[in-house]
Amino acid sequence: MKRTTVGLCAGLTLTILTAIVRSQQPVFTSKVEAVRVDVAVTRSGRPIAGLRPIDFELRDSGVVQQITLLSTESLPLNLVLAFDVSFSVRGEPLQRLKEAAHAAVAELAPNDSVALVTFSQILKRPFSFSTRSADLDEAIDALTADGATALNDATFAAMGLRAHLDGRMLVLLFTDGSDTVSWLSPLAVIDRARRTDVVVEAVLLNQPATRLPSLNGGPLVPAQGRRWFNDEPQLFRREFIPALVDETGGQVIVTDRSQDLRQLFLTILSEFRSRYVITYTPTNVPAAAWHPIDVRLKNVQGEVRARRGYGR
Amino acid sequence: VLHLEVAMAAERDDRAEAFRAHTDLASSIFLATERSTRHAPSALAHRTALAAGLVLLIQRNLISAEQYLGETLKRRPDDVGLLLAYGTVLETRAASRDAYSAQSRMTGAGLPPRAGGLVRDDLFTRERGARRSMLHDAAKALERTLAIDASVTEARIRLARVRALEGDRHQATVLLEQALAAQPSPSWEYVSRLMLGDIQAQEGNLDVARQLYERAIVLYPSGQSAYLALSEVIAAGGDADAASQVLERLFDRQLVANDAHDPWWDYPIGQRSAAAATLARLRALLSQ
Repeated sequence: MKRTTVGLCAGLTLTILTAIVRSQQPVFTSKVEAVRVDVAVTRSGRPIAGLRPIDFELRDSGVVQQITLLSTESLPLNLVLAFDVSFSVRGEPLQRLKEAAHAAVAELAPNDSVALVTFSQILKRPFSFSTRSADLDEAIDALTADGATALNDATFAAMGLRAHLDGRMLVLLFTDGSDTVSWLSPLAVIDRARRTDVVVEAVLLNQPATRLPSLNGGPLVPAQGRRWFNDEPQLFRREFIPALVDETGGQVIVTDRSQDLRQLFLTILSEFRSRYVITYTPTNVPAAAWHPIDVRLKNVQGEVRARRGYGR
Repeated sequence: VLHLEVAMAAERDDRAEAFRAHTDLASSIFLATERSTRHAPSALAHRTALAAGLVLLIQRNLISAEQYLGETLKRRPDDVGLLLAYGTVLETRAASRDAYSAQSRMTGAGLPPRAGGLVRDDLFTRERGARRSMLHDAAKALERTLAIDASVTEARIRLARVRALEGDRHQATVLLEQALAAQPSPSWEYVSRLMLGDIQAQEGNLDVARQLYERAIVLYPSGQSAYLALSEVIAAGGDADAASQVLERLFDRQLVANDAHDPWWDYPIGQRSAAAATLARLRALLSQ
């Protein structure tokens, strides 16, 4: 198993407030958007606990912001299990996926909600957002695998379920390959990701049939792959998942072994709960369509992962 | 013929293994038959050649399909069916090309390794060039199809997509509007509206795109792509709630797997109906 960290930045949430800004020009003249940012802080791969607002510096469009930290206990978790059930997942991977899903669901708190979205070429939602129940267990047990892979369409739909939900939202995406049949382009999904506060964490099962081939000249430099993806997203579609999770402040974990899925799912959930939730009201920032966010630590050693910014 | 008909039924029922087994058998038989009938009455040879090409296409054996159809077209350069199938193969190969897999195939084929990071660094330029070349050849085949028979709406729609992939939105729009004016079948109208909506959305005409997608949903309420496209264009307009509601409509269709049908899923391999028609004609010829 190897963990691929894909990007630094930050995870955020946009919540519309109705405060009036009178003196700051030229931004937010009629209402202010409070921005919420999900931030993972780790050292040597382990979450760092006990940080305070003074330990963070957040810049919106290059301008330092006044931040507060929200208690994650007060914010329910909305988990979307977005599972690839295409033909190549048949057999042991599907069985291990079901076991991993049951294990993840068992870790949810009473006020957390969960939805199950599956995809081959067909998107389905066998279980809509609700607290865990026997119906969910039955839906997981009933999963079968066949068909092509509408990865782009599925990730778009999973993130798009966000609109009516309070609290934080995590999409736990499992797949073993790249897209083969979606209507939506990878860049359309990335654009959607930039307009939500959803964090996407991906587990990529690197099966022999769908394995990413190695290239002569060694592995790609991540920034190089990203540039190619941005210029030719269909041609370099295998860069889609790293690009997507990077936008949302998540990460992609690659494993060769379906036996690892259970532990990986539990680790992802545990680490998501250990994140910090920063909120701030953008001040003195331009009214641009895209707001880059940069979150750093002050006086503390560690790595920060959060979304790259937010679109308006 | 029987093997292919069974295979097509299996594909409709999502039985992948049966589909594969029967198309393998059918393609072997067709190719052997085509070789033995090159000097037979032209209608039989033509239908057999076309059927063989379509089998390879439906089987997603695109490289073999391109080679076979390309060779066959040298003997029958004005055959509209072959030209359309060839254009479809090239279009689909270009659109579905995966740079890393292509690189892997080249390395696996024993091409000489190159020093240092040259192969890696050249990958982008080479792959983009390869895709453009395929699109160019696809456009030539589809234009030739239309030059011989301007009523082949499928060729017009596929040419529009090739132009869109090449970045020529204007020409793609003209072709799609012509295709829609010809009142194509519901499945081709659905695909045309999706493509035209996508172009309109890229041009910033979100309301026009929205109308095209809503009409596509009416055409194929059991489809999937039009809902997603509609949700996307609404989200791009800033209304996340409305975009989410479209997704709720998508998920609430109460579909079971075999009820879901979206013409877009058939589009890349294309011509399932053409294959069925070809088989019917071939069967009639064989019985004479």
